[in-house]
Amino acid sequence: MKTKIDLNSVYMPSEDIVAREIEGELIIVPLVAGIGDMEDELYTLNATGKAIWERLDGRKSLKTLADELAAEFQAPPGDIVKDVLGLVEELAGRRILVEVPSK
Amino acid sequence: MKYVAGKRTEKIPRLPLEGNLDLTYRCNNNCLHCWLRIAPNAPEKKAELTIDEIMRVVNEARALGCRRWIISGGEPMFRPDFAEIFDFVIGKSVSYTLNTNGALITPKIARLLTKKGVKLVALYGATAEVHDRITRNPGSFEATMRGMSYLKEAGAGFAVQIIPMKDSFHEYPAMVRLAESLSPSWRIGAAWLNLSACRDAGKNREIEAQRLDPPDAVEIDRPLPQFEEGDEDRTAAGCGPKTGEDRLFASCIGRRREFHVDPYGRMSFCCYIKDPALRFDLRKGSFADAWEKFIPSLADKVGGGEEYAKNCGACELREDCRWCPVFGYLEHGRYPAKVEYLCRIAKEARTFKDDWVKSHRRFYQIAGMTVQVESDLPIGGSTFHPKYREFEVRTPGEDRILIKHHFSLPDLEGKELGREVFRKGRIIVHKRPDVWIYLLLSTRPSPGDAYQAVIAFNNGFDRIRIFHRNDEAFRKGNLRTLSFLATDQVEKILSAAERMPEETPGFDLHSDKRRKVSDVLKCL
Repeated sequence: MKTKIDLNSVYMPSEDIVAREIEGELIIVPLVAGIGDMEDELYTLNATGKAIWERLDGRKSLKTLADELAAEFQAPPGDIVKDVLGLVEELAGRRILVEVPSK
Repeated sequence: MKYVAGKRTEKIPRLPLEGNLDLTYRCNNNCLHCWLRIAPNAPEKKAELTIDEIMRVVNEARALGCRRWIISGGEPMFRPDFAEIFDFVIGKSVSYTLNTNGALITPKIARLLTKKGVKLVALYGATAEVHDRITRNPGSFEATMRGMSYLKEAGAGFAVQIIPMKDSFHEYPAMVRLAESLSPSWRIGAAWLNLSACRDAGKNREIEAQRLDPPDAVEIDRPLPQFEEGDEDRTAAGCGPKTGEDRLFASCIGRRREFHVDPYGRMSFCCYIKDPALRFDLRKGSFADAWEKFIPSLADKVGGGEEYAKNCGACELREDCRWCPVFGYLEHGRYPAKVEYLCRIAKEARTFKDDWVKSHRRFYQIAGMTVQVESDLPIGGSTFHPKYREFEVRTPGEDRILIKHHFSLPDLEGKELGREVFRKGRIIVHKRPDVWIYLLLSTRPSPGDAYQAVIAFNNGFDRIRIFHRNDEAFRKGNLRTLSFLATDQVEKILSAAERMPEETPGFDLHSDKRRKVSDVLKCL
């Protein structure tokens, strides 16, 4: 499922999932039916995805988050933005991330 | 780039994904075989968790990842607050299983049970006479039938769970027929019975008297050889210590994704643990304490010692045995103790399996590979076309593909088949993380006759289950393909696999692997 992502929007983990880091791996557990593709499937993120996930606090916009990551990893901002949008698109499409309504 | 990967639950680190919750051990019935039941007014009633305590446990478990509950008893509906508890628990879950004797189901509860989940309703006999004799509760058969009719009226699907035992075994076929008439889905509960850890000699004599003779237990719960990839290391019980391991529960604790909470809030890793020393009091600590600290600490707590090393630990029937240390405890009060009744069942199971393999499995050496063909029906001398005789071998080589034939279609209604990745003509292909599902549509699909066959391939395309619509072609014999399918159907499957785009999820195989898949499929 494709979800159009706006870089100025704010995202946070859904209340219907639990994310746990175990032995260095981030595991996302859907807690209600209808999240993700399969009822019995859990999810894990790659290293890039994990670095972005850790900063999805429900307060800062994706743009701010991408700027922080670009500064921290000294990476081209364009690449970081692409990664942030890619991850959020995948997770929002599965309802693992939800958009925080703007005030 | 893909940032997110699906992960099957068996491949994740230790997480408490599934909770077993026994709401009470009190029960309206008083079954001859029951190892758990206490009387309706037993003093333990006062010690049962309150609904508020249950909510706390469920919420704490959920925070660590618990997504599914199995609710059981005693009779869980014996609690007057069952509906409220159930509604809360399933509201916090992806799915659930409920075990009940069905007698206390009301129209209101039946409506609650329309929520998607597994409902297992126990059946102890095909007639009121036998059922009520086992439950020692006159009118219980009628009450169970009434409960099932409420479920049907409400549209709440359920499965009948047949509980066979000595006093009902004479009408076992009638129980199966009754179960089939009550629901499209039925299963056998335990074909063998545990003793009660209460060590009441009278009670345990009663249970022992209800144990089926081993040949009967094996006949109704057939121990078919393992087929799926990765199953080879499992014992019949599916748990228990690894070979050579003295720590009896270390392996079990390490790989379990479930836990059990008894009616009094005492938690452990398995529902059969009755030893208070292996249970954590959730009234005195948090769920996280129990899961993260207490249960892992039990891995080193129970050793097998000499008794285990000399008996079950060295037994060549281990692979076919239901024994687990918890059953040693229930039988004798000692974890390493062997259970003679299970030894007898294991011997029967081994004989059954050996006989089954002789009549249901064949090996063919084709194109440098061994094709192992297994069938739910016996393979005879005229099953395959004579051309296969020259390819038949007695033992498999290293490079092996397995094909298993079933003669009824799986019920796909409401099943998650995964993403549709291919559709052309009468072939549709779905992809789940570990399996490719090929649907071969009927020539004139109609409700109830949608498919000619359903085929499930593992990711390596070397474990193949084929579900045929019926056994017509098989019984005719003289089959010209090992898949029992018409040659043009095999061609279509091969063509579908070869045309699968490289970017198909899960099919990002390099060309060598693709060639291998093609070779395997040609053997069909």
